[in-house]
Amino acid sequence: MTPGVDASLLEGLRAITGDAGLISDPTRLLSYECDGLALLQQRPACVVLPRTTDECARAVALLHRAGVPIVGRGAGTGLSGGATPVAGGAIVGLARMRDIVALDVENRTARVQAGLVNVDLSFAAEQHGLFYAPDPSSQHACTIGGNIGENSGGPHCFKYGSTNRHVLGLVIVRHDGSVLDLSRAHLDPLGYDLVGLFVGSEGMFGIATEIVVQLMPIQPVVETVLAIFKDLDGACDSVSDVIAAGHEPVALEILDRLTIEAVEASVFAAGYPRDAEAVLLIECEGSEAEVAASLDEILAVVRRRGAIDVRRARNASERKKLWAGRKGAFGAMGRIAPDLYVADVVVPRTKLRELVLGSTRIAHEHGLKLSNVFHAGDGNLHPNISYDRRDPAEVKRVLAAGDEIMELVVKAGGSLTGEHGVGLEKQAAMTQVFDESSLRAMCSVRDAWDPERRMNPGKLIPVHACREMRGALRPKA
Amino acid sequence: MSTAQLESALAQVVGREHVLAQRTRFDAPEAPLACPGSVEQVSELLKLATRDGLRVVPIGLGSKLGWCGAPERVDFLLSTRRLVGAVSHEPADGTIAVRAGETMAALGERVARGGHRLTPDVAHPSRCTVGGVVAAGQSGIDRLRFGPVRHHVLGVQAVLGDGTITRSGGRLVKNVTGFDLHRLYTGSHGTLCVLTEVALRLFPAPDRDAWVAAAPRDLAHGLDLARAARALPLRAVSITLTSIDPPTGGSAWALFARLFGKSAAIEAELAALRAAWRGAAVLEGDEARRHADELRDATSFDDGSHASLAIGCEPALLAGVLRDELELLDAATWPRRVAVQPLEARIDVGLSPHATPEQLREFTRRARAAAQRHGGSAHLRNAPLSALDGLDPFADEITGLELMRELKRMLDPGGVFARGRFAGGL
Ligand SMILES: Cc1cc2nc3c(=O)[nH]c(=O)nc-3n(C[C@H](O)[C@H](O)[C@H](O)COP(=O)(O)OP(=O)(O)OC[C@H]3O[C@@H](n4cnc5c(N)ncnc54)[C@H](O)[C@@H]3O)c2cc1C
Repeated sequence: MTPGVDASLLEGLRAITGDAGLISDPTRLLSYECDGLALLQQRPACVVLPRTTDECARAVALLHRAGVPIVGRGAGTGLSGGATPVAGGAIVGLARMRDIVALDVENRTARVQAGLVNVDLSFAAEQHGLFYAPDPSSQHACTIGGNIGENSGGPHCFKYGSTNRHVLGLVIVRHDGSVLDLSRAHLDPLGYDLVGLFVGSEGMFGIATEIVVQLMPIQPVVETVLAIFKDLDGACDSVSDVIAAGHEPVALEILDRLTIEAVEASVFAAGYPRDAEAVLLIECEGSEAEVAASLDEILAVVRRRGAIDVRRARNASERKKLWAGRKGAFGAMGRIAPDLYVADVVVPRTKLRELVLGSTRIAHEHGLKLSNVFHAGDGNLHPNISYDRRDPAEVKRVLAAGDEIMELVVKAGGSLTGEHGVGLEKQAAMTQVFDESSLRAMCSVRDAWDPERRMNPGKLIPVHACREMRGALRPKA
Repeated sequence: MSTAQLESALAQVVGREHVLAQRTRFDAPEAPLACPGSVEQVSELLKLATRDGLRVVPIGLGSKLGWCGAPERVDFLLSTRRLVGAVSHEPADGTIAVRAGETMAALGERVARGGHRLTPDVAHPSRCTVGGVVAAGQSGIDRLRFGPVRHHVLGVQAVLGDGTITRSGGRLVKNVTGFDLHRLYTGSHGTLCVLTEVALRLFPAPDRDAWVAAAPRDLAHGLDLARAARALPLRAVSITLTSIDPPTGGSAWALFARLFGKSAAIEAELAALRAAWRGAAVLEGDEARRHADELRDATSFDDGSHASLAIGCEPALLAGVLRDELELLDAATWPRRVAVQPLEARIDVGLSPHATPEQLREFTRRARAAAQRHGGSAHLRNAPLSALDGLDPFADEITGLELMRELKRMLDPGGVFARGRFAGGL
């Protein structure tokens, strides 16, 4: 029933974006069939790549009039199927909108186009003694717009918070191609907090084309420490204790043995000891006194919990190396098996050990290989399952294990996703966390933004919740 | 429905002793106040309102009613004040979920018992509830360090206009499951839902608390000192510049900073700040806390006895806005009562209790125009309703108002939550 993208529509789009901004050739469309969740694939009819807000708005208006569903896309690194196309629909990609429009050092803000790659903002800010805090491990590829879509996190979000805390304003192209300019930063929102609501809406409320973010001053002292453990429990318990004692390091990241092995065998080799069962990466920053005081206390906790060795990065290049291992961990996992299923659940930080153990048990019960690398400070677990997509039976077991892990976590007071979003992957599981009424409220809000439900349709909210609601709203005569 | 009929219908839900007659700043006829004792009762009251086409204004203790305009119509007020107590308090996880009617003072004590300190640190904490603070989007004087309140709401339980009980977010410090409706509700002033439960992120209580007071020569000097502090390696909880009237010791301005955290760190921060603010006095411990609380209450200009203006702008443009605002104040010949959070570019102006409604309206128009010239905004609080004649207390123009109306229509199709109070008449 999807209205077709026909030749005249393609011509209209080409007139807006030029040849370079339109892809409809089937071979080139192949690379847009999925995002980072390669298990789910669909063939879009075309990809539009605007250069400006205006081009984007005109293209969306045209697609809107033709009734074509639209999926916004940044770099396509999302892991929950948020950017999976709708078969026969259009993708509006932001990859050609990657300018830093303004970097305001005095106000410590930046205005960027949504397709800007995350790390490029940090590079630009660094020259002014500033940085952009949200730093997903995919930051060399993912876009600020995609970060907005998912409300992404990163290792340093433990202290500084996920994307939502750093976004001050947005320019949004709405479902019908109208432009909503919420980029004038006020201390507090005037009226409802549309910007805060938009962040994390997974492309279902519109397409952000320009983004105003807050930058932070680079701290004078940074200390990075690798604590080495003979067992994973000790690393988990260290983190629970550090949180309970009220310390505020900027990052607390755990990698388990399987991950360490993969990292050390890869180009990301960071010098993690191969015989360790787990390492805990700790980073503190601030004034010299602040860092010294808290690091000493944190290290005391870590030793009490059984760390057998503690290595301090002596300079920036050693620090970089330690982080390269962490940030390259997902990539390195390619050595274990061709494919990696990255789960992304959040748990109360008092229950790290118990739920890491539980996830591992579930994977083993399904005969699967599970490794752990996660944002421990936030309680954001990534139980990663290595598998081979060409083996359908294994794929089935992977998905079953993923579901069981989510169930386990939700029962223990956790939730489905800490940073990768719901997308297609966790849509069905939403009913574990939210009852019908709550899901309907989400539907209502989506309908206010996009009454035709053509922006990234079929994601996040379980289909039946919205269908029933539509029935209630528009009773048949 | 007559008043007596309405009161008896409300009493059937909450019990007679929990239906009060409270005068509000809305003029007669007086609307009854229903105080439900459970979320189910909240839901029942809203179902009743939906059924009978009644208009409701949700409140906590009502301390922020003066931040809004008058509703087009109100049949009864619904107060969450009886919904108190923690639903789950996890000190080791740094989170708490609490019923919305708990006062900020009680909540502050509760989290202190778990080794934490409550943010937002709002003025007059015994006079406001946590639900009201979140609904009003009220940030604390500690915003410089901890950020606005909207960053700390992890999730809510919210009852919609038709009585549906819903949830958004959760109790976890990191969580992206579902749309963040709690961000939409935060600061929506009870026009979309009744918040019945709020989950907040907690921050460790400091080992050491210090208060630094400097005496700048004049305003420009005060702003310079604040800027100097911004360049230092310290994370102040608050930096406040206040007017003194009449001027003492030759200056019309005083400058204060609060620092807290780990003891050794504070030692170093204090040393750095004292070097930058030569001659500054330092207080510590209970005394520091007392001064901080007093200043917080005094500079909020929010005790309800007179009107105030809350002005925000871009930090880099603060000096310009401040200059224009002070000129206006001088022209109005009112005593100067101004508090500035220079690093957040926030100005609070206490307006004279003797000003007439016309004067307040006129002054607000001009002050707002001055702020808007620098990309800012000005919110008029606690003015008599007659001052709001033809004046939106929040702003003259709201970007995205159509969409906001649509959100309101979708979430509250029955129009149960009284319109006309919030920005743009929402
Ligand atoms: C190796 C690896 C490591 C990762 N590490 C992390 C991590 O540490 N933390 C983390 O949070 N995530 C991580 N991710 C997930 C992913 O990188 C993030 O979700 C990222 O923010 C996606 O950005 P993107 O540009 O690729 O967006 P896409 O995948 O293209 O899109 C993501 C979602 O946002 C929507 N969207 C895209 N652009 C816009 C826009 N301009 N306006 C509105 N909606 C839009 C899309 O429709 C989609 O729903 C990782 C992924 C990989 C592959």
